[in-house]
Amino acid sequence: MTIKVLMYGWEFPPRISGGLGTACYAIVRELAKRDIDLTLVLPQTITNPDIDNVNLIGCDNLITANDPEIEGMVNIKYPEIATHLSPYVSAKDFKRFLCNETLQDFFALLAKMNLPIELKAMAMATAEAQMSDARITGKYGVNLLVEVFRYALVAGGLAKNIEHSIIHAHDWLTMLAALEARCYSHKPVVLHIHALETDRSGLWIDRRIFAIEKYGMEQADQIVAVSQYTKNNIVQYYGIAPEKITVVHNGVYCNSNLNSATANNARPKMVLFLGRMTHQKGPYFFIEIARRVLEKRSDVQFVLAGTGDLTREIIERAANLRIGKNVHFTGFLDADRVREIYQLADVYVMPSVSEPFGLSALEALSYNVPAIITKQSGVAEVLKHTLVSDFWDTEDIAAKVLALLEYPALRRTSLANEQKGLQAITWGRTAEKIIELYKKMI
Amino acid sequence: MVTICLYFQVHQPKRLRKYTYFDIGKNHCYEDDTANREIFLKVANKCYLPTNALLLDLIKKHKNVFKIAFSLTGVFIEQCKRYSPETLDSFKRLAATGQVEFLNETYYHSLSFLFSQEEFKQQVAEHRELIKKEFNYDATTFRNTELIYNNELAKVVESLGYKTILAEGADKILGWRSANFVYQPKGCNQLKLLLRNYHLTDDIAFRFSERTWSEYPVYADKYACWLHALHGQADVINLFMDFETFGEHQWQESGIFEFLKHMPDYVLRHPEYTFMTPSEVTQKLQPVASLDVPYFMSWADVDRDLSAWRGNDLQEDALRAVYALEQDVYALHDPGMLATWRGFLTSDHFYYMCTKYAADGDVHKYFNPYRNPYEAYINYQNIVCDFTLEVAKKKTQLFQKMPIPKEKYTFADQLWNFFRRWIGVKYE
Repeated sequence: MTIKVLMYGWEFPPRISGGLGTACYAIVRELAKRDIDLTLVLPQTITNPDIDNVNLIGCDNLITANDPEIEGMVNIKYPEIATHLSPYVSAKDFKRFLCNETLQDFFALLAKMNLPIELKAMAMATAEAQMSDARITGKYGVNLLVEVFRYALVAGGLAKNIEHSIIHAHDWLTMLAALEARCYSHKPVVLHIHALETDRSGLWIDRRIFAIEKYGMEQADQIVAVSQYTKNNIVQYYGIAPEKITVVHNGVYCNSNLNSATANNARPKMVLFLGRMTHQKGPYFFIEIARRVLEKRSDVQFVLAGTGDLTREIIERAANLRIGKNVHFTGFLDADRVREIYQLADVYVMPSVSEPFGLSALEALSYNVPAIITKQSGVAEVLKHTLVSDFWDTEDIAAKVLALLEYPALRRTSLANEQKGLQAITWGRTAEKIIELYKKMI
Repeated sequence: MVTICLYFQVHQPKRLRKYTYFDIGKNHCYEDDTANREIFLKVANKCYLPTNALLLDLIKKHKNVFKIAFSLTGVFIEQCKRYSPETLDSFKRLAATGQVEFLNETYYHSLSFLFSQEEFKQQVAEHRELIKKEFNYDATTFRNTELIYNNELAKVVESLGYKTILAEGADKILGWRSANFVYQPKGCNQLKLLLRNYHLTDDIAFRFSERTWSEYPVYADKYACWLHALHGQADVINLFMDFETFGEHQWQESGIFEFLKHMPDYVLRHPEYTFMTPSEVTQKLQPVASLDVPYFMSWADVDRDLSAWRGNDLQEDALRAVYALEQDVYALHDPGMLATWRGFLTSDHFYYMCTKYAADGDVHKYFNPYRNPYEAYINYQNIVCDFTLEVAKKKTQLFQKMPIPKEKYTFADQLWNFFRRWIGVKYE
């Protein structure tokens, strides 16, 4: 019997801005290969010229053009409403103008949802606050949280017309949609947790997002965590029973054309940071590492690829330490540029403060770039031959960067062993574990 | 007698192209030739050509009475030759009248005095030669980039043989004293100091088309009245401004050209008023007092200090990175590399990185080809990084090319040669 899955997914190529998009895409692809009948519901994103310049090509076209493997296998649906939701918007910079939607309509929608009274009250309060704000500015702006509820209702409603036996959702933005869908079909819900509010915001978590996450995970039939580290956090911070959490590590696609770092000795050594410049990813620590390394040798370049709310602060910090000539900022890079930058790198450093998984470290290794990762990451569980440090111990990380640059033997051994390990860490394995879980649930 | 001393600063920076991390090591072309050409031609049509034509008419009309001074940076003259030779010709026509003085400054409009006296002197010498060559003019008056000035600078400039130096008539230095007299820099006995009257200059350069200003609109007669009102309390009124004031900062529609056309007529209606160039002023007038300027001042922003170029970490870091290359670049003895490096020293690059957005934020924005100071900084550092690598590469090549003597080698020589090759290989 084929398993029919209704999946609430995220970004699809070419619109990939982070690990979540990559992971969703790979999981969908591998599930489709393994004879899973998949209906994927994606938010119909409107590209916002203020946020990025990427033009969204219709996803259906794209799959036929780029990826014959999924063609015809995955049924992609878009809910009727367009939304600005994307995994990395934060509540404070989320503003959308709504023409016909009124507060009353929203409340009517909300009344139809099966939510606990506390969450409804929160949604109403948020919407009302938004309205009073709108009255002052004369515009109808809609809060991110309001949008999440609206999306949940409309996207969840699709469940009525789609035959399925499992509902699978990724992260908090689609959690409510999955739960809403369950009200119609009464099929089990799998929540796939790629990141938590406690990872993203450290001590300054948004209580409302936390509340949605907690409610969603309590209601879900099964939870998939991308690492043991994330599972522990779910248990510790959200009080969820560990029995219903399954750890399924992410995978990586190995690259056939590998980086030949040895070929260009003339180039100065390059140490790479790749990720959003936010508190979670630890760019500040990367600058500290750069300072410590540059004290020892001056022929090393440091590259920070990505943008985020800390960008300016980080640039100023580099200038303040007078190491700006050796620290380069590339801004946001598209997929081709990311490939290029991995190939230029000699060492990859992931100084994340809290990283549920850390796909970029696997990617770096797949390009033959040795990585240094933090203990506070999920990927540390699968990489046994990679150097590991605490994110705050910049002295230690700097020493490891220097060691990787100075001692080719260390680099070779670590890479060779890790490459072997990488063969086992595939998206195929990830998909198989997920299917195993599906089978248990039906 | 009251003298009006008009001096116009003519400068156009060479903008750098968008240069990302991916260009490092691959692309050694740093200038944005397209943007530079476009901007230069635009400004030439709006400002340089019409203003020069007007000034030529005025000079002919007021034979031996109406006089002006120019300071043209080397960077400007280079671009003139490349993009608009007729602009250079129009300056040469003005020079031929004999009623125009040309000043000296740093060739690259740089902040070099703040970092290296050696580099400063070389750039001044280069500029002196250029002015001599283009206009056959031996300059005796000096103005430093953005009128950056202190006692130390005055002493150096005096030792270079200049007779006159220009500076800002900043209130914080003058106190109760007036800018409308000739001063002597502290510690100098030959050099004379002329100070800008910023009130009367800014009435033209900044406020001319400002509709919210209580004196708007200013016509030539009204302005001449203000000048005449200073009779008896002034020896010289120094009006120093950017040349782009005419037609570029103040558009043609604002009536700035009409103003300039009629201003000399109205000023000269007063029999006690005349025009002179800076060097004539200092030949004729004696200093009234010595002026002590222990710390740096400039004509920029309301702060009148160095904060427009050295006000934050971005600027300090970029300046440090580029001036650190000085000795290495000299050692190459490569005129092309030297010129490229000096191009990076132009003060405008650091001005773009300014983060103070007080009253002068708009002025900074107007001149800035970058969206924000951070982008300016990133671009600049990427370019300097690539250039640094180029310098290192050239240095190694030079080292390897050094002739190895053909005589009999001693053991020590062989050891030394081996060592040299080994070093060369290592840095290749």
